[in-house]
Amino acid sequence: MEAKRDITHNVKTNFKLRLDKISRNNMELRQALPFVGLLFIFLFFLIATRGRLVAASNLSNLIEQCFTITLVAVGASFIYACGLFDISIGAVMALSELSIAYLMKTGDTPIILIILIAIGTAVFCTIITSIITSVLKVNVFVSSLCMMFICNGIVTAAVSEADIYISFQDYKSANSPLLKAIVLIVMVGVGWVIFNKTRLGRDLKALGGNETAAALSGVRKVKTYILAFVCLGVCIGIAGFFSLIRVSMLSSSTGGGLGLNIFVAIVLGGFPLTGGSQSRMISAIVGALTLTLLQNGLSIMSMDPSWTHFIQGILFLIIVGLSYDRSKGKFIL
Amino acid sequence: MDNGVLFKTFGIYKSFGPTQALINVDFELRRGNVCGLIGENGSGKSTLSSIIAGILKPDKGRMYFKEKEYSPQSMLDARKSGIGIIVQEAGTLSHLTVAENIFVGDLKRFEKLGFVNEKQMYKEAEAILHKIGVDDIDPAASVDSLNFEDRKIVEIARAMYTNPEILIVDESTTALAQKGRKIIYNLIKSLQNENKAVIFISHDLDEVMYICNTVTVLRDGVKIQTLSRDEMSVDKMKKLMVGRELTNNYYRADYDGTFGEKVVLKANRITSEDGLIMNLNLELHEGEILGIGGLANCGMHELGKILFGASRPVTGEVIHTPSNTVLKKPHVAIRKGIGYLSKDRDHESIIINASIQENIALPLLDRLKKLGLLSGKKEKEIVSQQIGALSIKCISGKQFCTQLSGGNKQKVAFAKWLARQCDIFIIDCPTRGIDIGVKAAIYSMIYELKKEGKSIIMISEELPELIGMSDRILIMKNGAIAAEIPRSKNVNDSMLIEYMI
Repeated sequence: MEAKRDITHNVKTNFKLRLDKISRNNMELRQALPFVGLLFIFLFFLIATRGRLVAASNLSNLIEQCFTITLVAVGASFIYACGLFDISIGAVMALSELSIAYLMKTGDTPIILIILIAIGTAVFCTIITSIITSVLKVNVFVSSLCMMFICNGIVTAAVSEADIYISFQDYKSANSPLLKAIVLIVMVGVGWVIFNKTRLGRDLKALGGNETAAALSGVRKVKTYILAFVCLGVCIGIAGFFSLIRVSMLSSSTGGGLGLNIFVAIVLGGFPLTGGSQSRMISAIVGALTLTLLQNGLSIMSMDPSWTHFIQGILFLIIVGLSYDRSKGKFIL
Repeated sequence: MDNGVLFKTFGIYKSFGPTQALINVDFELRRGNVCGLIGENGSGKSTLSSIIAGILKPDKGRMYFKEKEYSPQSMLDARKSGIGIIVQEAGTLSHLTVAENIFVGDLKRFEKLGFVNEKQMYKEAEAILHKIGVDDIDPAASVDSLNFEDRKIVEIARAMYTNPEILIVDESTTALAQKGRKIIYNLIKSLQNENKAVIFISHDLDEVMYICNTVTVLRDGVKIQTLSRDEMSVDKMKKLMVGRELTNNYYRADYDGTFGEKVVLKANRITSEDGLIMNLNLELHEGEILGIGGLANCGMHELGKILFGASRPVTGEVIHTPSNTVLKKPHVAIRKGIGYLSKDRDHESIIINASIQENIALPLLDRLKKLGLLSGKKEKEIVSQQIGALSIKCISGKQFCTQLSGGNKQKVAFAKWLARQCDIFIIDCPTRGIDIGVKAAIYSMIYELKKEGKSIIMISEELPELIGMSDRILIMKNGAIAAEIPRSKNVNDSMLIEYMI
């Protein structure tokens, strides 16, 4: 009897350990997938462009292109962590560019003030979206769609006569790839700390996991949602400032499609769209880098830009398909 | 394989992530058999029944039904083969009508030229409801308009309309009052008479004794033993379930019933929005276990929410008396050292899709700061301390709550407030759907808290629990407190029921 129990126990423990290992590996596999995808795309384009991808001339291009999307993806991960999203990102960026465009024409406003105004405008817009969503309880799709139309409307009206060009001589120093690389690294660092090491990040993931349970555990819903949108706004503002300096003009198409690109990046990086506990900032960053490499690589190969969208769509499907079985264990009926 | 064996499993294995839910389970069901399936939370009862009902697939093992190999691809598939299930939690689909819920997955039979013939569907639904003895449910009504019990009855009808040869009743009776229970008991009897079979899962061992003619005991995913009718007794089942002798009485033994003078929480003439609570006054004292009971719709669950600030009363206020603070929001209550355990564990108490650690630390985050940032080390320390103290069965704090059994989830929910060292605990149905082992642990914990001078409001639908644990019982009726009963040896169930109705 005693021996028998021992044997059962041993078999059980062994089995348990094995299963433990398998499931852990599975989890690791799924988390590793976006990284493998990034590496694959990097190697693919490295070979396909015969090394032109990492040539010095393209490197600064890469930094330019990845700057906006990575920076905004960092900000967006805060709202995606609680299961929200924002379609107005591109339009808000355009508006924040508009708010500083006239000031930059004359060139006698200190640069720091200009950056603050850009950030302030973007944060103002995202706060309004978040208040409509959390206080008035309007679906975030609707509230951000309204915000998109409002911002678009203002920008379109401002440039209806002619696109706004700015003389960027006085602020030229801000256009160096090195500075952008530094700003990006600092922002990613700060974002990572807020996301992982402060109460805000944890509260957001809790809200994404279960809003009611989170609120009953003392998470302040409205405050937390607003703060998440503030983080997004700050990133949009900074991205807008640098983008305006680089392009040195503002037209009705400025910022177009950015919101959707962020969405694609988030999915490519394996960030769960429902938010919650498995949200990781690195996913947003990996997704943004993958998307940048994809767009840049295809353009060096002088591929028609419309094919970029086609390939994005296919990749999107593959990734969604691979990460879909998350809900397999769910009890239906 | 004749001798009346209707269903058989060989060597069933099933795991959820790292948790081993079933290990090499052989199970047998004869015709005319009402087989009880018992075991503690996490012993694998629900997993086994889900596999039989086609909801889950086994990792390994074979099943035979009517001497043929049986491997259902889905719940609908199993139902077509003749195995129906009534599940533990609400299993109706909202936004649909009663009839649509009954015939879900099988609406084709009412189809005519691509449209569903609703009239015929409602007629047949009514016939089925009538057959199981229910005449007060409208087949055309939306299920969302029904109460919990009636929704359960819809599920029963759904399981019955295909005339299953095996009916699985998974802890459905815990949620039911007399009406629903009677329906289920009658059904079981008639199935038995028709020489069909029933698998009956329940925590209520007296009920198992009453209903079943054999009982199979599971423990930690392993089948321990099958008892025949003559071998069955409540004590024996208990012993096999936990694997050791249990002391008979797990409530507190004393009849002291005294508590501190100091009032710690006070409700002043509160009225709830739904009108179930009207002008209610309440005082909670230091070191008191205050039991609150009543009928299903007496408003006691809403009261718990209001006392925690999670629900706003229309009039009146809740005051944390030591600090003289009006409680309007949960985070204010938490700051004053109040913890709240909802009746709806999976939707309100814990975040299922998060780790044990994330759940336990959530109300505690403001205390885990070190130079403004969260200290991972401190968090881990506190969490593993709680996991140890409550003996939560898990591999580590990183394990996700989806993989835990009901009892262990409840322990996680408790651990949140213990880790925060709350002074006031508002607990709503703390032992709902939990096995005796964990129940005993929770009772002794509540008693320990009282002795430490903490105050507890225990809202419960189980009268023995209220009588066994409370210093003072309040019975709610028509939105007010109908009776206040101090702790004494002489309190019994029927006395309390008298006040309720």
